[in-house]
Amino acid sequence: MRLSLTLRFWRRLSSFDRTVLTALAAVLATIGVLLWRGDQVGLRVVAATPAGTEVSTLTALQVVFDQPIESTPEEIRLTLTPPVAGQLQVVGDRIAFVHAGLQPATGYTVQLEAGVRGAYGRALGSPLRWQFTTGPVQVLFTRTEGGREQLFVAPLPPAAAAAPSPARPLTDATGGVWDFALSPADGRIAFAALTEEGASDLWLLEPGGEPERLLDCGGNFCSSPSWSHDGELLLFSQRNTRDSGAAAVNPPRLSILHVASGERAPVFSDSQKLGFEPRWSSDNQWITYLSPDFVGIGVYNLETGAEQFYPTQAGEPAPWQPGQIRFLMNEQRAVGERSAIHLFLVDPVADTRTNLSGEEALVEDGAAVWSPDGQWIAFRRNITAGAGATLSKQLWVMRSDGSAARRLTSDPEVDHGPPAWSSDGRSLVYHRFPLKGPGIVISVWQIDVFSGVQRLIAAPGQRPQWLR
Amino acid sequence: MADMWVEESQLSTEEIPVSSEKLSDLARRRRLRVGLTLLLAAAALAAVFFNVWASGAGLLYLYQQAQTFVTIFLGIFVEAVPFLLAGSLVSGLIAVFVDQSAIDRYLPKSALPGALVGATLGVVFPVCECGVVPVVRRLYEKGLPLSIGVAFLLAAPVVNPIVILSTYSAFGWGSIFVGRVLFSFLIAVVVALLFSRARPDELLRPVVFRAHHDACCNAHSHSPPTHSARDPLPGVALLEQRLTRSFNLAGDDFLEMARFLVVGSLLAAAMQTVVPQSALLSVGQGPVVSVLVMQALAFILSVCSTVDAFLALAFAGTFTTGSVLAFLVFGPMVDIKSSLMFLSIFPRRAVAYLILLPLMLALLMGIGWNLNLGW
Repeated sequence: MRLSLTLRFWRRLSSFDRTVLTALAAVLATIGVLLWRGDQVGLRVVAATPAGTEVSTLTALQVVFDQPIESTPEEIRLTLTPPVAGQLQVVGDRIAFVHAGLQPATGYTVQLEAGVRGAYGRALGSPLRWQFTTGPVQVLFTRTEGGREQLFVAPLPPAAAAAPSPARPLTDATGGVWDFALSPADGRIAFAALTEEGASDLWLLEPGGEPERLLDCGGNFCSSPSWSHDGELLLFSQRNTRDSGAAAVNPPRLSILHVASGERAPVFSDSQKLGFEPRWSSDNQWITYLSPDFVGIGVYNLETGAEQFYPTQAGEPAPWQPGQIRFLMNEQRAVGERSAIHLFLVDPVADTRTNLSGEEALVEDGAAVWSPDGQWIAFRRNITAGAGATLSKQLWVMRSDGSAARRLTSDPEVDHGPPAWSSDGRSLVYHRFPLKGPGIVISVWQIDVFSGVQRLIAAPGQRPQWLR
Repeated sequence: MADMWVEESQLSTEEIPVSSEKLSDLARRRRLRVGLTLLLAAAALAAVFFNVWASGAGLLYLYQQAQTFVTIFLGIFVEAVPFLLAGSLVSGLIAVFVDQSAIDRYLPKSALPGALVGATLGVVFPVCECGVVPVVRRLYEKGLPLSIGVAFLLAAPVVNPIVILSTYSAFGWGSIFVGRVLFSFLIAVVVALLFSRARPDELLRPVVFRAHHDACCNAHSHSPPTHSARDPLPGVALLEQRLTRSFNLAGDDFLEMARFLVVGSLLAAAMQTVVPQSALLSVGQGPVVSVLVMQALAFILSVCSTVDAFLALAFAGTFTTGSVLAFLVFGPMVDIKSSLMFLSIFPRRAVAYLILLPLMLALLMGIGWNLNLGW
C-alpha cells in the first residue's frame, strides 16, 4: 500500500523533480558511504618536540595535536627508551611529559601509542615515534675578547683530564653581552647584547642554534632577562634613552614578553613604577624585583596585583625557593657597632622574615642560590671580624633553615663569584677572582659540594651557569 | 507537489479560470501557511522571552537584544545595498543594450557547455550574491538558457576576480583558496546541469518565464520581436534616451529586489539575535558536525562573499578545514537574504532545490574533505 502510494507520488513528479530528488538521494548515499568508511585521517600531530641533537636535558617532551585531547593521562601510553621517570600531562591540544631531567649526551627514542582521542572524535591512527639526542653537560660563561664580553660554552672535562676542555664561543655581539638568563624549561638562553650606540636588545639562543634577535628595544636599554619556569614568558627591564644620561643608568621599568608571539606589555599599570632584576616563583605567579623607588625588594603577584616591599640597600636579586612561596634576600644591618649583611628567608604570604645568617654573625652574605630541590642554599660569605676573617668572598652552603652552614672554599687570596648548582645538587660552578697579581685571570671552576674537590673548567671566564 | 506547481503558475497568469474546488484547496493551503508562520513567530517570541527570563535582566535584556537586532540588520543591509545597486544598474544596461540575438549567437544552448560558460561568467560580471540576482533575472528575460543562468547565479559570487583576490589575501595560496574556487565552480556546474532538465515554465516565475519565452522562443520561430516595457528600444533611439531608460529600469529592479533584501536581512538579523553565533559554534567541531554548523552559520550570517573570507579566517584555527571550506563555498551560493531574492526569479520549489542541492553537495565536499584529506 505504502509502496504504491510512493510510486504514484513518484509518477506524478515531473522529470525535473525526479532528477533532483535522485541526485539528492545519490549525494546522501555518498555521504553515508563516507561516514561508513569513517575517518581516514585521524588525529593529526602538529609538532613533536624535542627533536634533533644537543637537546637540553631540561626539555619537557611535548606532542601538539590539531585539536584538544580528550584522553586522560592514564589512558595515554608514552614510552621513552632509555626509560625516564616523569609525569604525563594533558593540557588543551597537547600532551606533555614532564621529568626531573634527562641524561646528558644520550640518544632517546619516544613512542606514543595509537588511540589517543581528540575532543572532536578523532583518534591517533598509528603510533608516533621519534628520536632526539641530549647534549653533553656544559658550562656557560662569559669571556672578554677584544674588549667585549661574549658567551662561551665549555664541556665538563673528563674526571682524569689534567687540562680543561676547549671552550667554544656562542655569540659575537657587536657591543658585547651585557647579561643573560637560561630557561629552566628547555635550556634556551636569553641575553642582552649591547649596540654600538650604547643601547641593548634582547636576543635568543636555542640549544645548537644561532642567536636570533628576540626583541628590538628601539634604541632603549633592555637587560636583566628572567625566564618563567615554563619557558614561555620573559621578564626584563628597560631603560629609556629619552631620559638624560647614558641609557644603562637611566631608571629601569619592568616589562613582560611572550617569547613565542613577541607580544610585550609593562608589568605595572603605573608607568612610573621602577624595577629591575626580576625573579619568578616556581608557580609563575609571584615575582621579586629590585625597586629603586622603594630601595628594597618589591614582591608582586602577577594574578592579583598584590604588592609588598622589603627594604634593603644590598642591591642583590631575591631568588624564590623551588616549590615554595618564599624567597631569599640580604640586608645590611648593625651588629653591635659593626655593620653586617645577613641573609633572610622571607615568606610574603605570612609576612615573616627569618635571619639565616645568625643575629650576631659578623658576616657579609650574598649571591644566594637555591639547590634544585630547594633544601640547600649556596652563597658567598666573608667573615668581617674574629677568627677566619677575610676580605675576599668564600663559598658556603647551608640548609634552607640556616642550619648546617659550612665553608666550601678557604682561599683568602681569591674572591669567589656567584655559584650555580648542578641539576643533581652535587656540585657548583663559580668563578675565581685572584686578588693578587701579577697576571690576574678570572677563571671558571667546579667544586664538588661533598668532597670539596675543585677543578678548572675554563680560563679566562666568569659568571658561569650550567648548560643542561 | 507537481499539482501545486501548476496551480501556482496558473494563479499568476490571471487568465486561466480556476474552479471553486481549487480555490478552496488554495485557501486551505494559505491557512496552513499562515498557521505555520504564526507558529514560527510564536516560537521566536518564546525563545526571546525564555532568554529574558534566563538572563534575569528583564527589560534591559530586551533593550540590548533590540539593539543587537538593529545593528545586525543594518550591518547586513548596508553591506548588501551597494552590490544590489550595482547589480540593478547592470541589469538596466542589459535590458536596454543587450540584444537577445547576441545571447543566441554567443552563448551555448546545450547544457554542459552552458553550465561551464555560466560558471565562468563571474569573471566578466564580478558580482556578489546580492548583485547577481537582478542580472540573472534580466538575462533570463533576454532568453538566457536555464543552465547558464543557474551556473552564473551560484558561481559568480565566488568565481569572480574580487572574491578570488579577497580569498587569496585571507588564506594565501593553498588548499582553502583552491578548494573554494574549484568546488564553487563544480557545484554550480552540477546544479546547473540538473536544472537544465527542467522546462522553463517549471523553473521560472510566470512573469520572468513570459519574457524568457518571448525572447527565446519567438526568436527561434522567427516571429517579429515584441517591444514590451522590458525590451530594448530600436537601434535608432538616442544613447541618452537609452541610458535614461536603463536607469529607470535599474531603479525598478532595485526597488523590487530591495523588498526581498529587507525581508531577508530582517530574518537573518532575527536569527542571529535569537541564535547567537557562540551557541552555534559550541554545538560541535567534529568532522561532520562542524560542516553542518559552518553551513548553518553561513546561511544565517548572510555575509557578502567579497568579505566572508576574512570572517572565515577567524574560524580557520579552531574549525576543521572542510567546514571552513563549506562556509566559503555554500555561503556565497545560498544564504537567508539571497534565498528570498531568488524568489523574484524562481518559484518556491525551484528555490528549495537551489538551497538543497548546494547544501548537500557542499556538505558532501566538507565531510569528504575532513574524513579523507584533513589538510
